[in-house]
Amino acid sequence: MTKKRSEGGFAARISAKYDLQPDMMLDGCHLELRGRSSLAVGGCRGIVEYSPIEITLRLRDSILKIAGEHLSCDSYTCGEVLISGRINILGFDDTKR
Amino acid sequence: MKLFAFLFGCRKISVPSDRGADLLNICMKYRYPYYEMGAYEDRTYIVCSPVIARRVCIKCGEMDIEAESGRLCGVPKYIGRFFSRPGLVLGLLIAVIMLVQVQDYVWDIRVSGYEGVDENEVIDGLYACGFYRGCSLDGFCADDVENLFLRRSENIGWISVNMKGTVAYVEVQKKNSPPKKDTLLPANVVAKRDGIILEALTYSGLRMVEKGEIVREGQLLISGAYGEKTPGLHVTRAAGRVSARTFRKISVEIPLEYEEKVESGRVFYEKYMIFFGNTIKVFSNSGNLGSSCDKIVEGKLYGFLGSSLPIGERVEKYVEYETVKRTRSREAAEALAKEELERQLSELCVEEIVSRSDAVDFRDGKCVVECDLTCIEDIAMTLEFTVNYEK
Repeated sequence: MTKKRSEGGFAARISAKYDLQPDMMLDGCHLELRGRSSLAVGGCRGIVEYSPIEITLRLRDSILKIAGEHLSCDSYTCGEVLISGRINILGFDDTKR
Repeated sequence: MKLFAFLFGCRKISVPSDRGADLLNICMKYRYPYYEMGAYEDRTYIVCSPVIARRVCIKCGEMDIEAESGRLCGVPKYIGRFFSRPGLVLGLLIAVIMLVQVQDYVWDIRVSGYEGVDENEVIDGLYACGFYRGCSLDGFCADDVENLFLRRSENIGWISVNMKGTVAYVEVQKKNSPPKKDTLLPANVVAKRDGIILEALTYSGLRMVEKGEIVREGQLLISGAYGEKTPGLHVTRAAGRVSARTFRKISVEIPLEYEEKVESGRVFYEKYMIFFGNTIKVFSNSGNLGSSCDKIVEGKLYGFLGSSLPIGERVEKYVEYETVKRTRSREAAEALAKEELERQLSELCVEEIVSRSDAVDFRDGKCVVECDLTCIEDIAMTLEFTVNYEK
């Protein structure tokens, strides 16, 4: 089990072997940034903090922090978050909250 | 506001800023879609449909989140306002009913091809036949209206009524009457007033007077029957022109005391609405109407884009007056009498006024102006007669 976990497990191996996108097999997150004004985050498990200057999202195994100005959550359904505004910083934190 | 949100209505739900993330998590967890989100001051808000807003508020309450629901926006808000006014709803309802019902009525009558024929005469004629602006088209038959109109009209020889929607297009042609034939009845020419013959010109018949002869009113001037009874009497329609010197006397009286109407200042109205040929009284303050009133009636049909509508108004105005006795001066009475005399003289049908003498007198409280005239005029007057044949 320890070996599997270190290698990422069966799904990770399949994904690596067949060159599949990690979010498809590993239930990971998917980020799509368009310029600095729009960010789509897939695989979001919840919003930890929200303010117009900082949004904190909980992902499967990490925390995503988005800092910027006039940030807003345009849609938020089925784990898909669409954030708009002026995005300045994107950061991941492995500390689970 | 997005179009969808505007059309179907939306509500703003706001929560304190520190609970904004919870609000969004509720939306995600329960799959509540929202149109818009944002933040102001110390609050975070979402804009969603009214149904979702109610659900979000319930969920927020369960999670101890202080949520404020804003006012309803968009079309439902206006619909709500509209239905809260029964007058508007009733008006709309009446308008819809009218739109449906008015298709069965004549809205306008347009007459064309009426050279030499008065349009109003045609419309009045159609009215007499029961076809007018505002009449019902139920059971309408153009042939019946046309035939009835032609039977009653003296001037119109042809008419066509075509309905296009609610407008009647009427085409008419004037009747081409054959030239009026001279009547064949025999006639004499007699004097229509006393006079001295100056000249007698006979077109037909036998002249019975000579120049310088004095004739009396009704005297035979040109005879339509002449000749011997045996072998046969000639009968014709006598005609001619008989110029004579006549004497006329015109008298004009103007009383020095007269009654004048003085408006008391009280005016009463009766207002009616003309609606598709029906007259409906809508206002009246003439309940205590006095006996001495002048009645003034004004009516008009409303127009729209140059066309008359079968809807209009009629106002009957009653102006109350009092009769006051007044006295005019002799000079004023004389001036009035002379004015009236001149008016009567201008209406005289004479060839020439040879001489004239006026006399003014005041008697019995009146100013009397008498005018003696000597005129030259045609005194010939045709008088028809019948011939009884002996068996």
